[in-house]
Amino acid sequence: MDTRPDAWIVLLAVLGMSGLIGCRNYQHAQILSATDKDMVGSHQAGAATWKPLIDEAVVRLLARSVDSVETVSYTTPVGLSVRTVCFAGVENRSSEPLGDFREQIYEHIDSLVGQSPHFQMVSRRYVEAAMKEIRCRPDALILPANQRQLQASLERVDQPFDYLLFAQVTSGTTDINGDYQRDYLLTLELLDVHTGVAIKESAQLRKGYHKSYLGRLRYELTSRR
Amino acid sequence: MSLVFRRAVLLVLWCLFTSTGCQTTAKFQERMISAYDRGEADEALSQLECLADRRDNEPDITSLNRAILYLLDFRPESAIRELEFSRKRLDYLQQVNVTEQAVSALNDDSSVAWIGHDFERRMVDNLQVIASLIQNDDDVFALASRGMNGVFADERILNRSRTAVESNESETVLQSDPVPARFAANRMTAWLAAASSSERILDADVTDRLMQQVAVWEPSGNTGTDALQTLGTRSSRDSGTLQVVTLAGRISRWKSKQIIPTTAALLLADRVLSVTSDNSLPPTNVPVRIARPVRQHYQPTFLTHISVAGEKPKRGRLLVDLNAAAWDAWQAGRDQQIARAVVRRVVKKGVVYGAGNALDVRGGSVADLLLNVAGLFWEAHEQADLRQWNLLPAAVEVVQMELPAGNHRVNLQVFPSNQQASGIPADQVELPVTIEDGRNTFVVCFRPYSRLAGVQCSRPADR
Repeated sequence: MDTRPDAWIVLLAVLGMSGLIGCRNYQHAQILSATDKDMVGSHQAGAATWKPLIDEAVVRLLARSVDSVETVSYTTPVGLSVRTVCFAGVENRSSEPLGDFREQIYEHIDSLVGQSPHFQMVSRRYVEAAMKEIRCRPDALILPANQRQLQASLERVDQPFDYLLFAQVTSGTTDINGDYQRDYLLTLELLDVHTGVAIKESAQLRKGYHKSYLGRLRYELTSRR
Repeated sequence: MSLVFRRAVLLVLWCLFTSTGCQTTAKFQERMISAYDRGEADEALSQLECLADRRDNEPDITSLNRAILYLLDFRPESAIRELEFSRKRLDYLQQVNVTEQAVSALNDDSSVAWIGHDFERRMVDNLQVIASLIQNDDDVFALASRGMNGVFADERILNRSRTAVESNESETVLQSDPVPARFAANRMTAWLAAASSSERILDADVTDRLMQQVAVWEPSGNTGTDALQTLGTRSSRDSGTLQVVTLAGRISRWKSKQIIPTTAALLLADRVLSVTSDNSLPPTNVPVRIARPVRQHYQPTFLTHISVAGEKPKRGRLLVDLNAAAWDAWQAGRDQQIARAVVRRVVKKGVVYGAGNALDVRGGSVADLLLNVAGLFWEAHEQADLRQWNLLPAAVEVVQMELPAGNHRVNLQVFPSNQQASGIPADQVELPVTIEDGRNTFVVCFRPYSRLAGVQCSRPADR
């Protein structure tokens, strides 16, 4: 008889615990402020990877192209040399799908390069329509015949270009017993369609993926040595 | 004593009451299904609403069936809304609820909220994309991308399990082995996403990757991925593509199956315990039951032949066999289903045994007999979980055609599968469609049995 109250307490405790552990939860969200850090993707690259890569690669390309690029589309009345660029899209050669980030990468690069006073971007809508018309994939644009077809198609809508801009995402993976390091490389290539001269700049970011928190701890301890 | 007797009588009455309710629900369900098979969307919807009013109705399954009927009834926007609602509900219900699990240990698997199998949840995404394609709206890309997130997550799980098998067993499982059929719906997700991206030539490499995914999720014996490549801007200049997607048949029913070896083992165990202990246990007279799909594969009784003026008729190619997916999903979860049933029996017998001990009931007494009868009724009330998304098609077939941009008349004819495409068809529909340069025109048709129940087009032409 004395053990019965104890049994009830144990039963209530078990039910209470199970209720706490086993309740279903609704999804929640919050707005991130400008000072909040980007969230780091647990399985693949996200905002924390792509944003700094884009910024670095574009800044490098712009800095180099001001001096290196020779062909000029036109000069403004104040003497500023402007080059017209046709952005041929982002090619994903990495081992991860870019998902909806692909569009973001395109738009970020397009806007950042377009903000430079030395470059004028051909609208994406013109580029897509022209490439669809001639049925030319971005990777086939390296062929002069395809370039001429694209040029002709864009000239018909009064949008000639002098440079082709290619963006490429690649990755390299190092596996260590299930945990792995993945290096992401964003390469921007600006090709002068008149001379065939290209300048290339890239930015790299390394990221470690761990199966568990213990794996991360183990990595941090060993990497300090 | 009289209290025990009254409770036993109440238990019997409750069992009778609930089983009668189930029969009425089943009647409405049968009527809805047969109306769907005849292609009568209005009648099926009205039967579904009668079903929805039933107390023992499963609201999430009703919602999904309603979405299919909306699609059949040319109401894609309502279908998208219904599917989105169901998707959120299923996401929420997928989290484990211990209270439900505890109740299910005392009752049966149907006490746990229905969340469907993985392939059914993937089909929610796929049908949303289909509805969006018919509506020709801008959400196709977002819906297809969302579906692909699930597919890539499945790929990670599959790769992890393959790696585990490789490291644990001497027998090597190759990466090139065909994927289990329960993942087949992923193939449709990837194909729909490829179709969506194929209209944007700047995303040509994305389309390539998605077509690789179509190949990755191809179970053995299915149509090769090479036959599914005619998409969007992959067509010649001044041409577009026609994609006829047929939602064929109706998915295999699940039926209750007796597990005789498990039942025999339990009977043996309870007899040994009954002999060795003071009071007896209810005998395992009621066999342990689990749910199992009836059919292993999709076997078409009728086939759809699609032709455009001057072109040779084409037969649908199998994109997804959902009967095979259901069968494989059952096989993958069979052991768990049996284990749950055994645990449930043990718990029930334990409760009856505990009650006998607590009431100080001696073996062979009337009270012991009543307790055992109550225990038997309790066990007999347990049923296999036969809940399923009833109106899901048994298979999805695709026909692709590259056609010059402009208006065309598409002829869809249904013939018995053992008959050539000649003579009088069981049903036929002629549909005027517009083909746009570098774009896909989707024709979605339902063929539950021999009739083309609903034929819809993303770019219809003026008749």
